[in-house]
Amino acid sequence: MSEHEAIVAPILQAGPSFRRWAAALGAIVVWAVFAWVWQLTHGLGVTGLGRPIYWGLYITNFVFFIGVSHAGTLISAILRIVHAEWRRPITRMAEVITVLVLFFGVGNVLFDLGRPDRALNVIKHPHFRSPLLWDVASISVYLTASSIYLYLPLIPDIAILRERTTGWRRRLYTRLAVGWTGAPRQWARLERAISVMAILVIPVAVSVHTVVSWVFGMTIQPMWHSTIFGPYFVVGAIFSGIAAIITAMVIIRRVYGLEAYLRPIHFNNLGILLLVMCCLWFYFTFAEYLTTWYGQEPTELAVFTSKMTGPFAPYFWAMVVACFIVPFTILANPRTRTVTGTLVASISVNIGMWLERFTIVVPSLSHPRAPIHTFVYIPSWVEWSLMAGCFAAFALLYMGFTKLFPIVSIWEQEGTDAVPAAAA
Amino acid sequence: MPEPVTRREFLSYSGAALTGVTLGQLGRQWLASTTPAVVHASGSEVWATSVCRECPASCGLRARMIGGVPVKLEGSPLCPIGRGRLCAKGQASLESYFDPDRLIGPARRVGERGAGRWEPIPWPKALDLVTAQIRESVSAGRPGLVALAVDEDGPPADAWSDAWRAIGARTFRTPIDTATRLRPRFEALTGVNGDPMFDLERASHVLSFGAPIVETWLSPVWAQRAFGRFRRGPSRQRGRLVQIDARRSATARKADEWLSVLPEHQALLAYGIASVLLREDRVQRGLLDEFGGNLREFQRDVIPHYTPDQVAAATGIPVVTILRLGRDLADSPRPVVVVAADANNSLIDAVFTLNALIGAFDRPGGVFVAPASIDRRGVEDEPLEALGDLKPRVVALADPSPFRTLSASPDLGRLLEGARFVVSLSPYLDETAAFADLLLPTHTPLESWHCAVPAPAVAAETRSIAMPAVKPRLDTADRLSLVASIARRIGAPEQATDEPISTERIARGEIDRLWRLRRGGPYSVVYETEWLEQLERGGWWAPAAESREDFTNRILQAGGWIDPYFQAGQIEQSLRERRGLRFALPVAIPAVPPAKIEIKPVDGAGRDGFGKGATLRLVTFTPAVVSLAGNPNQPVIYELLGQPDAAPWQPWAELHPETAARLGIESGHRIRITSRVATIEAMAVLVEGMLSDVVAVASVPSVPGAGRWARVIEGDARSLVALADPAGPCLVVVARA
Amino acid sequence: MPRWGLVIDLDRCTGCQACVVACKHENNVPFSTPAEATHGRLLTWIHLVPAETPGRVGPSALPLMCQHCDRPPCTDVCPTSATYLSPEGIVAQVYPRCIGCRYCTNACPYSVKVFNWSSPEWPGAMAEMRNPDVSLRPKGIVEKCTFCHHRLMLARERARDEGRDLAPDDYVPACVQTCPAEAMTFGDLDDPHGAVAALANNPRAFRLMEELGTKPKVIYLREGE
Ligand SMILES: Nc1nc2c(c(=O)[nH]1)N[C@H]1C(S)=C(S)[C@@H](COP(=O)(O)OP(=O)(O)OC[C@H]3O[C@@H](n4cnc5c(=O)[nH]c(N)nc54)[C@H](O)[C@@H]3O)O[C@H]1N2
Ligand SMILES: Nc1nc2c(c(=O)[nH]1)N[C@H]1C(S)=C(S)[C@@H](COP(=O)(O)OP(=O)(O)OC[C@H]3O[C@@H](n4cnc5c(=O)[nH]c(N)nc54)[C@H](O)[C@@H]3O)O[C@H]1N2
Ligand code: SF4
Ligand code: SF4
Ligand code: SF4
Ligand code: SF4
Ligand code: SF4
Ligand SMILES: [Mo]
Repeated sequence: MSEHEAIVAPILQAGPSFRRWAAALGAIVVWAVFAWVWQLTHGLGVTGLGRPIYWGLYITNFVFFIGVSHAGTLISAILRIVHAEWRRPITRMAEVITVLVLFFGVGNVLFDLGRPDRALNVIKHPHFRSPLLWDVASISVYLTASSIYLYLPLIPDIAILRERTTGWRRRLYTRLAVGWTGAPRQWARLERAISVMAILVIPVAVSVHTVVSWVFGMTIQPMWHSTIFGPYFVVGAIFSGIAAIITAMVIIRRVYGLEAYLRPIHFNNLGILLLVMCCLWFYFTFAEYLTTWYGQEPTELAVFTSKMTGPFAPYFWAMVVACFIVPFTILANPRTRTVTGTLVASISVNIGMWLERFTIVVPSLSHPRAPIHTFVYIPSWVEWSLMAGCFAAFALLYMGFTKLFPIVSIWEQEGTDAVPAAAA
Repeated sequence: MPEPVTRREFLSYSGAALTGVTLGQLGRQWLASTTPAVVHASGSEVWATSVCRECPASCGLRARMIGGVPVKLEGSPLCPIGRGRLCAKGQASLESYFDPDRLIGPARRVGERGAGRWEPIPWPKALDLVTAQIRESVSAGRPGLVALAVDEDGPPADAWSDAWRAIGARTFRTPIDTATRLRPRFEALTGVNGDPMFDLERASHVLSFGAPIVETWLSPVWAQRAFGRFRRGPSRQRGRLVQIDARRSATARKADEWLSVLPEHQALLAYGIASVLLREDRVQRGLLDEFGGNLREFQRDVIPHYTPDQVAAATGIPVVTILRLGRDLADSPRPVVVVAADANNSLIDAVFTLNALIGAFDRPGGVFVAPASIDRRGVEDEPLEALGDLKPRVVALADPSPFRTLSASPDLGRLLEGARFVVSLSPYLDETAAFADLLLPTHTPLESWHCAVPAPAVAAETRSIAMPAVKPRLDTADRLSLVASIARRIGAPEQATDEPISTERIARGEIDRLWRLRRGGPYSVVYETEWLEQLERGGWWAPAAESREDFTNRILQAGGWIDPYFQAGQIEQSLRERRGLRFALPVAIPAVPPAKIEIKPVDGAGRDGFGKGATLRLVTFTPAVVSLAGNPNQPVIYELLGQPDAAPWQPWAELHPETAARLGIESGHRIRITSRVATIEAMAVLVEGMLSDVVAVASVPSVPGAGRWARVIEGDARSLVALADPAGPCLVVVARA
Repeated sequence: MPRWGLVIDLDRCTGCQACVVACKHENNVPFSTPAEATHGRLLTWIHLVPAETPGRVGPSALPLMCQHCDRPPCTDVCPTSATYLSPEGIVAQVYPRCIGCRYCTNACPYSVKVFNWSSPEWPGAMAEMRNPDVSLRPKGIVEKCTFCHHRLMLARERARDEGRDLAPDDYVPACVQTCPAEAMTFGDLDDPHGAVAALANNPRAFRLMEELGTKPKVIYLREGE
């Protein structure tokens, strides 16, 4: 086992820089909790929302986070199914993103509720025609499935850790390892479970983002009521998911010195994948906007123009640059498809995809069909604080995970020739 | 002589009233300690009758009372003016009763005048204070005492003046309702001493010279209902409305044709139309042949001077349009011409002349004379202009906001400043109250007795009479009883013998008088009112009651008295007596050049941040939801401002899009409007089709002292003209704020 | 069973806003502050919007409230059935069930639903002017025009006490009751002899955004000849 010391070592010790980061992120989270309490006390009036712009940052974040969640499960599942062996070191980091980020997706919906205390009414008085209910159902299934899918491949690694620790950690790992001994029958069962889950999780993941898109698509509001929103959102989700993994990979690689595991080939391959999604995203965006413009339906056109040349133009064009121009230029050229190159492209894509969500949610609401007074939505400090809190909490939990479990799957490394010579 | 207080300075005085220890805060503490929270959820529903006093229309209303607390106001179905309907202002007056910033009891000033420091005192002491001051002033000789009254018509308003005069005061009254302002010109033409009344409902074609029919005109609820029926009455042709208006008013929006014409040009246009009618011989001969009066001279003067070409050249309205306006008017079966009451005399003359030419007098869908069994105007009151250089020692104000509502002469400021003692009789702490020495809070309308003569609207004689709908919520008094107590203390001769006067006594007295008239009956449903009319037409009177007491009770329950028998033909009768119409002979009015739009730097001395702008003509108007006469502290009203174009909670100004573009102003921008005397800010609204050299500003009361909501509006459009010379158009400079 | 509907004659409506005040007082709709109003937090269940009619002087005012759609997009999307179409055609709001997700507000093409951004306040004695027949809405939930449903319940009760059937004039919403121009007519759309059904067949009749298939039961009569 010692050949994977690089993976195991960071789990067992936390340096001062880790603590500094944890403290800083923790402070942001505490601030966000304060902001939320503030909002709970005073009502949603503390946000920048109003009639007719009833949804803003929270729903943008909700869609964004659910999108990012496609990072993991989908990628690792697909790559697992097609036996793309280079994926082995990155599956775990991707799957963790998925599970964690889903909580923040759900959390943002809770932030957005006027009466979060009544959230359970969705279960007590469900109304099955509501896409929100479909969301509740599909996200719950997805969360369960992806948690299982994260957990199953963890079992052998937990067993490894069980052997190497004492005290509470040992007790924890013992429980979580569920009596894993590495017996061939256990291996066979695990492999079968993993491959079943890998297949199962794909339709669930696709459904989740499709249903999220239907929250908008099922209404008859201008530029929400779109038939391609399902696939468009799924593509966008995978797109932002890959970008999120690449970003996470670069950070983990640097921080934990995993250069040996996360090699340029990984970035190159993921870069190509990102490039493909980038083109797909562009294709969908183009199709969506072209048909809207060509139709010249006045209410649709009002939203369209506000994005092209109106008040939302800066967001829209920034999105086009960030989601297409920047990543395409970098990734289409093999010479810039380096670690740094893909990182720049990925960060750009993540910002761009957030902007995409924003420019889907807000402009449509800002241009209602009815000729009512409207206003310019500027998110309040509370909304920004909660958003910052989400990112901080995500980073914190991710860091926490790396201190409990191997962020690169140990046992899966063994089945390949990917074991670095130096470590051996 | 010290400079008189200007309106702006005055407003800032009262703004200060809310800093430091104010009655407002004090009041809230008192309120909390004296009135227990009313539990009404379990109470039973009762409807109480009352009268709306937000404007002189005096619509009957009913208050829905739950456990003794009014929760909703509706129009009284028995009232012939509103017929169960109530306008926005009328309903909002419920908020005045509950106004958290109302005065809670008598108070006397402590500290500087205008500093807004008050101390509550008991009623007897308050009355002693004012009596002592009046005694002193009476011994100092006239004019020691001046009383200013509200614009209110009816016996109680007259009794108020009588009571004051009985103790040696001079009484002044603010301008009265719309029709009154039309009266002198109507009398000049027809010799009728009565209010003209427009039968909008039955008209087939209405040509309106600036009359804000669906906003503030005459009797707003009546006008709205009449308009609705004029437009789409059952089994009748849709009425056609042509609006001549400098701005695109709410009425202009409803019009089938809107012509944007400067107020100064409207009389020209009206005479131009008259000339078309005369030249093409499209006039209605009937009345003219018999009572033509000086028609020949008129014709001789008008036809050559007001040819369509000349009028077109002066006003910019195409000749074909002028011809068409005249022909459309003549071709319609029941046309009528109506006018804004604050129009200039020559326009009002021209409008009544047109009505004479088209045969609208005494005809259904035309012009009638309002019946009246009493002289409705407090004839002995003097107009405010007569205040002149008066320096009374004591001033009593029943009109708490003369600076807001009057074309406030500087005299008023001097009057208040120079007076030893200023008493305010009002339910609210407002701008003049803030300037007073003694506050004697009076009841709000729901708590009061009423006996009002409604502004002339329906073809009947009416009186809106009611008892208090609710018990006084706070430590307030009947205004008339207060004057009576003061008079009694002074020892006024009439008061010594008589039963003490109060609004109740005056109201009951009026009912007695009506009983003795032996006609009319209580307000009743349409069918019963029509039946009463039929009876009276046949020479019968069916008393609705057995006895005088019974009659009184029925009137009070119904909320008023109506005599529906309406004698048409009064104009004709007067003309017969007087031998004909007396047309005002218009001289050739020179064309008024439009104010040049000049983009120029303006002398910015004394005006902070005032730079470049354009000189435009000011037109002010009263939005339909704004009340000139009520308590301005009604939040619901501020929310409705400017709908559907402008934004709530702020005044707005309308500009032509091109004018705005030249000034770099876009819809929704804040703009600054500066006249010779004041500067206000408003939100810009761009209006297609209005005149490019005009800015139309909504007049929304700005009353800094009058409570938390009334304080929100900064700058009243009226302050722009208030102190300017009244002659000629008011020019203002408009620029982005 | 009646199917309640409302006809608004735009040729008569003067934009006076009496209906707006009537509705606010009748239904305990709280008032705003200037700051709230500029942020789209002014609460009204009915308000005036500009409406262009071809051939008219300029946009005139159109009173807009919940259209009580027969195929309401708002009820479909509600995850808790807090809003639903009642058998009599009134689109109702169950306040205690609403979670405040504001999905319905966004799905309504007429933008007529409003949200309680903060706890409603009636300063001082003003709290006493609230109508005890209409429940108060706490912060965080959505509300809208109910066709003054409480008036229907009261009218039914009264009719039952008097041992008779509901007469057409028994149930009149507050806005209709006050309209000075008599522009509004309320009643049973399915009653072929009723005034509403007759007006709904007027050649001037139209429904807002009819093309969306929402089947509104508020019917407007076009302005003009
Ligand atoms: N909403 C509301 N209605 C009210 C009242 C209220 O307080 N609020 N008060 C009532 C009372 S007391 C009165 S006296 C009346 C006042 O009602 P009006 O006398 O009708 O006065 P304003 O509302 O000021 O409207 C005046 C209109 O005349 C136009 N105008 C100004 N000058 C001229 C001119 O020279 N020629 C012509 N043709 N038009 C001109 C203005 O542009 C404006 O549209 O309203 C009554 N109705
Ligand atoms: N520049 C300009 N000035 C104008 C006009 C204009 O068009 N332009 N219009 C003029 C006209 S037409 C009018 S009518 C006046 C209106 O002006 P005013 O009639 O002077 O109106 P307010 O000053 O509001 O005074 C009315 C007050 O009476 C009190 N009040 C109301 N009801 C009752 C009651 O039942 N009992 C008692 N005790 N008090 C009550 C309230 O305190 C209310 O504030 O403004 C006039 N001034
Ligand atoms: S018209 Fe005047 S009296 Fe009648 S309800 Fe409106 S404000 Fe009151
Ligand atoms: S009350 Fe009647 S006339 Fe006034 S705005 Fe409402 S619908 Fe129109
Ligand atoms: S108008 Fe809007 S809120 Fe009313 S039923 Fe239709 S969709 Fe629902
Ligand atoms: S806000 Fe309330 S009524 Fe609207 S969809 Fe959500 S739960 Fe339903
Ligand atoms: S029907 Fe009732 S709830 Fe609906 S707008 Fe009219 S008054 Fe308001
Ligand atoms: Mo007046």
